[in-house]
Amino acid sequence: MVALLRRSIATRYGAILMLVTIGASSALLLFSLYILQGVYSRITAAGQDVIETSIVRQVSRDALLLAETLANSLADPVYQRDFSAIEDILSQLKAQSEIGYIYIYDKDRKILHDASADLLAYGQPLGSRIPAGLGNHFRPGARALGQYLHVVYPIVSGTTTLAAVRFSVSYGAAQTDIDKMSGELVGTLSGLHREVRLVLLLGFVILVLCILALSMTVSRCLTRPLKDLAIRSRLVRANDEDISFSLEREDEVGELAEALEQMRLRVQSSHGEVSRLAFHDPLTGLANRRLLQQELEQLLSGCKQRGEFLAMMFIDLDHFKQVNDGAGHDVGDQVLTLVAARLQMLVDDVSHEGLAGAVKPLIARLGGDEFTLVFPLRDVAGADTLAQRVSALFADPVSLAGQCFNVSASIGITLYPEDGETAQDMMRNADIAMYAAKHAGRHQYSFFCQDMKTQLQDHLMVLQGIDQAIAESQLFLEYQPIIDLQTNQLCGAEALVRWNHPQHGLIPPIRFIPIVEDSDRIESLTLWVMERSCRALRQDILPQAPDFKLSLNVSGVALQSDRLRDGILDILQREQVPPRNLRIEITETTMMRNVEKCAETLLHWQHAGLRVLIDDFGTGYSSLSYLTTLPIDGLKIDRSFINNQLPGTYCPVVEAILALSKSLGIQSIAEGVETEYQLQALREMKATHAQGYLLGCPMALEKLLERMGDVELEQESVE
Amino acid sequence: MLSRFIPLLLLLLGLSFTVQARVLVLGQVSERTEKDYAQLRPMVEYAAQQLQGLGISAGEVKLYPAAEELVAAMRRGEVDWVTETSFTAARLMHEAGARPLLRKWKRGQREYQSIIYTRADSPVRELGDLVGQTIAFEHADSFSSYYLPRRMLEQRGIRLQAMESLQQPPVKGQVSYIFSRNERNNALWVHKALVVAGALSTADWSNPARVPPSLRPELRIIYRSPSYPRALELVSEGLEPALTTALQSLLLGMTPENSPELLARYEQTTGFEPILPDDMQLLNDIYQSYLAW
Repeated sequence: MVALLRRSIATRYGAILMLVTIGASSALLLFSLYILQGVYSRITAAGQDVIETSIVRQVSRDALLLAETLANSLADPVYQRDFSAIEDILSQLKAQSEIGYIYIYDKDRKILHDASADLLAYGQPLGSRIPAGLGNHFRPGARALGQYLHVVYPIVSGTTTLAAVRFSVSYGAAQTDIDKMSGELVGTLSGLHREVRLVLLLGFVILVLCILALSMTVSRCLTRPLKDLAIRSRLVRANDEDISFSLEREDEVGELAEALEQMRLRVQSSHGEVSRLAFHDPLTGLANRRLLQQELEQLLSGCKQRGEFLAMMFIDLDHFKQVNDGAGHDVGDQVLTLVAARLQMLVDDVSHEGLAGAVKPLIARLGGDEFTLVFPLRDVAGADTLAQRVSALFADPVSLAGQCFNVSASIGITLYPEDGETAQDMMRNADIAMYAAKHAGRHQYSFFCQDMKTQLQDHLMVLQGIDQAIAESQLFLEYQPIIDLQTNQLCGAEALVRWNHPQHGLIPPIRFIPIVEDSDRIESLTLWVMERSCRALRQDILPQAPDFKLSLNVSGVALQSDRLRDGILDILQREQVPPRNLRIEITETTMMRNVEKCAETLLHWQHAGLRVLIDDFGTGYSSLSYLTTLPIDGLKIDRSFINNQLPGTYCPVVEAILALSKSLGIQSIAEGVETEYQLQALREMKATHAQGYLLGCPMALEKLLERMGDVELEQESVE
Repeated sequence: MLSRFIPLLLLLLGLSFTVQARVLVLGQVSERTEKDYAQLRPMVEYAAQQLQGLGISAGEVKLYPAAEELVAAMRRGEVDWVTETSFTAARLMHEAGARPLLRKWKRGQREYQSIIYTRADSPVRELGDLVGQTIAFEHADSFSSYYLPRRMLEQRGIRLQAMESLQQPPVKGQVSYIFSRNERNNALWVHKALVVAGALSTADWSNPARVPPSLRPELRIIYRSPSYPRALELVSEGLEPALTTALQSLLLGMTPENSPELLARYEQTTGFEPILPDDMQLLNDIYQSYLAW
């Protein structure tokens, strides 16, 4: 109830009105009942008084009238002393129970008749037979004494008073009458009293009910428009746009409604703007990602119902960043707008050609240079045609303000229902396919296939797991010995990183290194390898072999990063390893990406005392001039050349590289020596250093240390 | 032709007279006709039925306000049968030629007397003492309470003087008399000493409604008259002898045992008896007294 009062103005207003009314009516009712009670008591008392007085008076009058009548009828009989006639007259009176005594007496107040048959009281004095104090004996009179009314009346003949008749009348009957009439009066009045009280109470109840109903009606009337407004505002909130707040009233509520209506119109227009912004790309006017996601669900369910197909394309413009960087963002935006227009035109054309299904295709811009085309298809064969048409769209350069921009696109396509059935799957698959197209060399399209997904999963696994691997020591180093072919001594080793994944087991470097190289994780991985290598050198290797040279691979990416460059030097300093014991191997291909920066870094390292080797030398496209300009300390001859050293063949490349390095005065190491023949050939070509399975597989540090001991023993035995 | 039928017609006419039915009429002087009619009717109807064989077809009651009218009716032959007190019977016999048929024991009384009484403490002890005193008679028409006592007083040579009111003082040498209107007043006046003596019939005296029994011990009877029959049945002078005889024997045959209801209704009669030899003398005396006023 309290909650209801708190919640509803109508109830509160009604309750207050009702309480006030009930209070006032109750007070009035009580006052009326009090007054009524007083009036009733007074009327009753007065009524009883009047009844008593009037009855007594009436009885007296009746008695006197009776006495007069009696006296008149007795005149002759008394005169004639006709006792029997007198007795006849008196005996009728005497028969009345109210009569106490009745006497006729003469002027001497001697009894003439006592209404008896034998008149035994005849002649006796009256005085002893009537109450004392009744002084009047011959004048008409009625006097109340005790329970009786004593009446006297003279019996007259002409002017002569012959005698008088006297009798007493009991008040008993009159009293009974008085009591009875009083009782009736009280009964009537109390009945009346009850009726009036009932009427008052009924009136009170009816009044209260009327007021209650009235107050409820009034308060409802007052609050109905407010409730109406509340309902309308809820409907507005539920996006019912047909609702208006206008109540067509001129009162305060009408004003409120009008104000709300103005507010609603403002909100509606803002809402329109907001939703346009929320669901559309402001630049191209195409749908944005949110709208795409919403629409895609509907498109998919529509296709499912109709049994149609659906192609979803992720279109990523290749090298669009260069347009932005080169010509400015304004031009970039214009290019994007033109691309959107071309897409729109294509979609219209293709739709007209009847390739499209029943549902209208959707073009969206997901942000930056990413577009998405969702295209319902009659049959799945149309997907290829569509892909070609879209791809062809980007063949022509975009000309803008006299400039031409070559904007190619990498397009990933996924099909419903073949590749996936949910919007989420479609989006992801199209993305994967798009990345595949990009990886495949850009400006092409590729259809999604499940392998892409696996690759992506691997990719993700590596990227997500590498940090953990570094932190939880899932990584470890193996060392492949490098042999000095002149002394046949183990003079160094190449540190190779390995990943023992808790779920996937041992992951070969070729599966994760390229992925890590493409990400920023390469920094931390490089530093980790550096730190471990230095520690192994300082703690375990150098104490045994102070001239030991440990090689470690550093990605070309590191050459572009000052932080990595300095990080390597920091570790070197921290671990207090002599720089001359470390060799940094950098692949030829990565080195060539940014030669200037590369040279700067290498010089930096050289100054610090580090040695740099070019890894996989011979496979890239490096200019020989670099070998002279760059601070290079040695070459590692690619294993493919060594593998070609087969009996009965001659490979001049190895010999040329060896000659080149000799003439440049730098070191050379042959990789991938697996057969005695190869080793022999290298010896004959005066190669200085070699590594390979024949000379030693990559091994744990303990094994390496053991091997180092063996060599020494061997040497000792040789000596 | 017509002359041949005349004797036959006369014969038929004569026969019709002989067998013509007639009504038996019972008469009485009455002041209360309704009550008296109810008392007499059953008896006359019974008698008429019994006397059917004598040409009586029905019985009828005829009442008359005064004795004179009954006398006249009887003279005219309108009344066949009368039941009356001795006084009226005496007048009917002498003035209308009525014949006494039977004595009737009216109200169970065979006969009655007139009495003259005083208060028991009165010095008046015989009729002679009444001279110079007052006496109350009942009513001027009363046989037993006026005619008879007055005649008794007068037969003793006492003269009577009427009083106009009780307040009037008695006349010396005469007996002052006043009518008390009824028997009750008569007794009360004597008892309350408004008059010295009163006169009543023995029937009234013994009736408690007329003389309250409480008064009687305080009263004294100083004279009793001879007895008179209480009531008489008379027939008209012209009533056929056969009918007279038949009626006489019919009534004589009725006793309280064989006709209780009929007799009770007939003025509470308890029986009939034949006229006694002295009765005629008494009735003559009554009539003579009546004539003397």
